[in-house]
Parts: sequence; structure tokens; C-alpha cells
Amino acid sequence: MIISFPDKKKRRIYKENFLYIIMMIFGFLMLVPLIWVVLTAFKTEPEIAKLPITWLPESFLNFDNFVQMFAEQPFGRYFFNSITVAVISLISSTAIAVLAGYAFAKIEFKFKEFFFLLILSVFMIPAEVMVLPKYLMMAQIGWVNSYLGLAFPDLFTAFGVYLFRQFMSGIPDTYIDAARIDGASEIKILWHVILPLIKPALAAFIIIKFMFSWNQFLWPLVIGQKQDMFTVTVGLVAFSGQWYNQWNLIAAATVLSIIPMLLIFVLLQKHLVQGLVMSGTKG
Amino acid sequence: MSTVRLSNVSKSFGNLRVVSDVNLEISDGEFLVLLGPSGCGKSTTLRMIAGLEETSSGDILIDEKVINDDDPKDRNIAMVFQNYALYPHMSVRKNLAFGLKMRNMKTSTIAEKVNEVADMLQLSDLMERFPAQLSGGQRQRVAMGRAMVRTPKVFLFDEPLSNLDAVLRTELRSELKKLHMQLKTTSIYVTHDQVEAMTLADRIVVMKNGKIEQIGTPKEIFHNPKTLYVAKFIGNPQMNLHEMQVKKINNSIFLTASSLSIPIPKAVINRTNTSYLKDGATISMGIRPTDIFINNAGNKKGAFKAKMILTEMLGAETLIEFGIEDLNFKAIVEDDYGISSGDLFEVGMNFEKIHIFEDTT
Repeated sequence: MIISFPDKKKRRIYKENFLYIIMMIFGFLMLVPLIWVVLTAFKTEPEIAKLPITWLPESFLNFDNFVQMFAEQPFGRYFFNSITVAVISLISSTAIAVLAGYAFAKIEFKFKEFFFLLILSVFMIPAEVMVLPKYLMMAQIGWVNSYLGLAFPDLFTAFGVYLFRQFMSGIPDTYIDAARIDGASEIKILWHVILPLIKPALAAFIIIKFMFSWNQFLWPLVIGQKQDMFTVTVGLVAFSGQWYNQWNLIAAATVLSIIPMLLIFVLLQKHLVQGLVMSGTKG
Repeated sequence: MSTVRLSNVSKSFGNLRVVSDVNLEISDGEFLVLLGPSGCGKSTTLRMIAGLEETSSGDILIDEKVINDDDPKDRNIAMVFQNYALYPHMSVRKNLAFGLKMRNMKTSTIAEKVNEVADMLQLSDLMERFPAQLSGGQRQRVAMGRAMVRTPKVFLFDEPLSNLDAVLRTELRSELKKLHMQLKTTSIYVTHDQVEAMTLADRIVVMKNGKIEQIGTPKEIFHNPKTLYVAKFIGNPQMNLHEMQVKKINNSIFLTASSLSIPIPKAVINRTNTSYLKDGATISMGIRPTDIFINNAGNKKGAFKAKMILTEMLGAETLIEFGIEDLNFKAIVEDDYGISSGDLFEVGMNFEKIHIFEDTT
């Protein structure tokens, strides 16, 4: 019997298409929870409780959940709080991480490795362990129920120092030498030479940091005890009761809470992708 | 334009001493080349002059002013790096202007100076390109432009041509020489390439293990190497070097090995330290491949019987390798007269060009 195989090119195309199909299936599976939440945000409570389940809402123009959500809880305030905390911690942690990363990557000083390990060790302690001591500290300073108190654990991040140190270590020292001879001070070198070269790392850091800060739950719950200091994540819990969850409102609030992160991602995506492309094509 | 002086300059990294008591004077407008193999301390010396490395001891002076503690930006020097060090996110124009901008110059003055240098280096058409869009030669030109645009007191070059291919290197070498003739700025150039050193330098400093072996004009270094190391390092193919014994017969001195005996002319003795020309002493005898010739004129005086080992056609010349007794020599000759491997023939040597070194390793 003669078995005929498709030629090599065809076989490659089949293989590629098969891989794409697999990837699409997994991609879709990952999107299912998000799609479900978005669809739920437009459903009425009876629709949500209905069995068998229905995927699509009866009307996509049903914004009642969004209206009710703002009526029941001061979500405008929660959004403002979350954004304020995220921005404060983003600015502070980026500034500290960039400066520290530069020092660890490019400046020689005594006990450099020891201090770097010390900073890295912060990584190794679970955040939950530090909640109580931090709370006691905040209480003594008087930062409970304040934006500084909310942002406090995120003002500095060991991850940022590590990320920027690694990225900056890859930048040839001769750029810095050349800039020093060209008359630039250390701060100007950092601003004019180093920062433009680490844009992809900056973009990645801002996305990760913003997401981390935005999604914080335990710390804001502990430190922001008055309703006007609640963040979005804490506010969402208000719709969950001991016996009953208002899924329609939770879904609507969740959909709105995703928007700032999506915006940040869309804005910085170019730099992130550029960074990935650059690192892939460098000789 | 300026003078540069290094006075007992040393540099150590921990217990490792990489530069030892270097004393140098570079006169106004001079092109000085620091030459030596990797790890000889030449780049460290240059970086100390630039202010990118601190000296462990000694003084560096520009125009007789000690600049040890001055920042690189305050030394009024410019440096061209081996890997160009062009800022990859800036266009050629911005790269050229960066040094002037950092010195808070007026925008109009910056534009004027940048355009002037761009014209001089034929970069005008490339001003909006980024370094990644330039060829190696163009990048090196931009790097030179960036150094020139500030009209510094001293130019420092750290192996600026070593990343280029052979043809481009020769081309840029000539351009560099022309530029120096035009600008007459004091320049210090580091290289491990003896051809670059020979062609560019007013004076060459040969370095070994952080110390200066010899300072001299390219001719002095080539024709009168002071140490065995310099003799080995300069010249391609390398100088023929053999261990020989000194033999004094009456008032004449001979160098002998096996049954080979070479008479040493007075001129050689006069330029050699006679303290080690003692009867029976072991020395190194050197003769350059260009100072040996095939003796086809029947001149018996100073001729040696040789056996051809190998001939290599180089183009206008031929490199021959042959043996006299059990000593092998190389020579560059215009014509090999059809002598092949294994043939016996006669060679002559220009005895006046013999070099004698005390050390044998």
C-alpha cells in the first residue's frame, strides 16, 4: 500500500494552524471569566439567578446596575481614593527604584552586594506577616485613615529595585563614561541617557506596580477604616453580605474597576512591545 | 592646545597593580600612542587621564595644573571609545550636540558648531539618523565628531578603530591623521595594533605589565628597540631572535651558536650596552626579516649556507623561512629566485642592523 504524505510545506502549515487553534482555545478559556463578568454587569438579578444559565443579557442597554451601584455606595470617592493611592505609590516607588537601581547597577560603593541582598530579602517576607507591625507603626505616626497610610507599604518596592538594577546592568558603562566626559552630572546621566534606554522596563514596572497597587485589598481594609477612605477593592465587598451577594452590582463595579488598568496598559503597550522586540533582535 | 604630564602615576585594583610609576610628557599638539598587548595598563592610563579612574598615586597635569581631583567634565578633554558609545536613542545631530547642551550653550551656537563638525566629517546627510541606522565607519565618524565639536584641549582615543574591518580601518586611520594635522590638538591614542601606532604616532610608548618599556618615535622604536620585549612586539613578521654566545677574539666580538659565527660591527657595539658583551655571556641576537637577503651576487663575505624551509608569496614580496645550522630565520625578499623547500642557497645579513639584548626570554 502506498501512503502519500502532504509535502513538507503543507505539513508545516497544518502544524502551525493546529497550534493557533490550540492557542485560541486556551486564550478564550482565559477570557471566559472576564466575559462572564462583563455580561453579568448588564443582567438583572432574576436573569443572573435563572437556571439554566443564560450567557447574554436581555438588553445591553441596561445600565441600571451601574446607576444603582453609585446610588448604594460612594463609588466615585472609592475610585478617587484608589487612583490617588496608586499614583502616590507609583511615583514614589518608581523614583526610589530607579535611583536605587542605578546606584546598585552603576556606582561602586562598599557593601554594595550586602545591601542589595538586604533589599531583596524584603521579597521573601509575605506581605501579610507585616500587616500588624505596619499598622501599629501607622497608628503611632497618625496615618490611619490617610492617603499616606494607604500608600505606605507601596512607597518602596524591592521588586522595582531588582528590575531596574538588572536592566541597567545591561547598559554598557561606556555610555555613562561618555556622558560624564560630555559634562553630564549623575542625575543628568540618569535622565538623559539611562531612562530613555530602560523605557520597556519602566513601562513594565508601571503596569505591574499600578495593577498591584490597584488590586491591594488587605492593607486598605485594615488602614482605611472610615468609608470615605475605602478603595474600590474594599468598596466591592460592601455588595457581599453574609447571606446574600449582589452579583449584578459586584459585576458592574468590577467592570468599571478594570478600566483604569486597561487604559494604562493601552498607553504603555507600545513601549512594552518595543522592548520585547528590541531584546529579541539585538545582535 | 595643551601639554599633558604624568608624574609617577600608579593604579592598583586591590592588591593588583596595573599601572606602575608611569612618567610621561606629552607636548602641545603631539600625537602620542600608548601601545601594548591586552592587560598592559594602557587603557587604564588613558582612563586615569580622562578622570574615569582615580589614580592610586602620582599626579596628572594638563597645562601644568594638577587635575587628579577634577571631574571628567572639568578636564576639558574628549574621548572616543572602542565601541563608539553613541547614545542609541539620540539622532546623530543630538549625539553631536549633547556635550554642548550639557554645558548650557546657546541653541544657536550649538547648531552652528554641530553643522561645522558635520561638514568636516561628511556627516551632514546623516544628521537625523540613529546610531543603529549607521555603518561602523559612519558611527566612528560620529564618535569623532562628538569629541571634536567641543574643541577640547586633549583628545583621548581608546582603540577607536579596532571594531572596524581592515579596509575601513586603513581608510579611517588616514582620515584621523589628516584631521590631526588640521586640528593639531594634543592627542593620546591607545592601541594594540602596531601598524596603527607606527602610522599615526609622533611618539610611541610601548607598555608591558603596567610599566613603560620604551618611548620613542616610530623609527626609533622600530630601528632601535631597547628591550627584547619591544623587539618582539614591533615588526611583522617578528624580528628573528636567537640565543647566542659572545666570543671575543682579539679586539673583535663574534656571536656564536653551533658552528655559526657572526661578526659584530663597531656601529652595533657602539649602540649596545657593552656591560653584557662579556666573553662567554649568553645574549639574544636579533635581526629583522628585512635585513636578510638572498646572496645571489656571489659575494662570499658574510654569506651563510642556508636550507629553504618554506616560501610564502605575499604579493610584491616573498616571505621565506630557512635554516642556518639548527637556527631558523625568516626574511622578506623581493625575489625568491625560484628556490624551493629543501634547496640549499646562500643568505647574507646586514650586520649593521643586528640587535643585541641582554635578556634571553
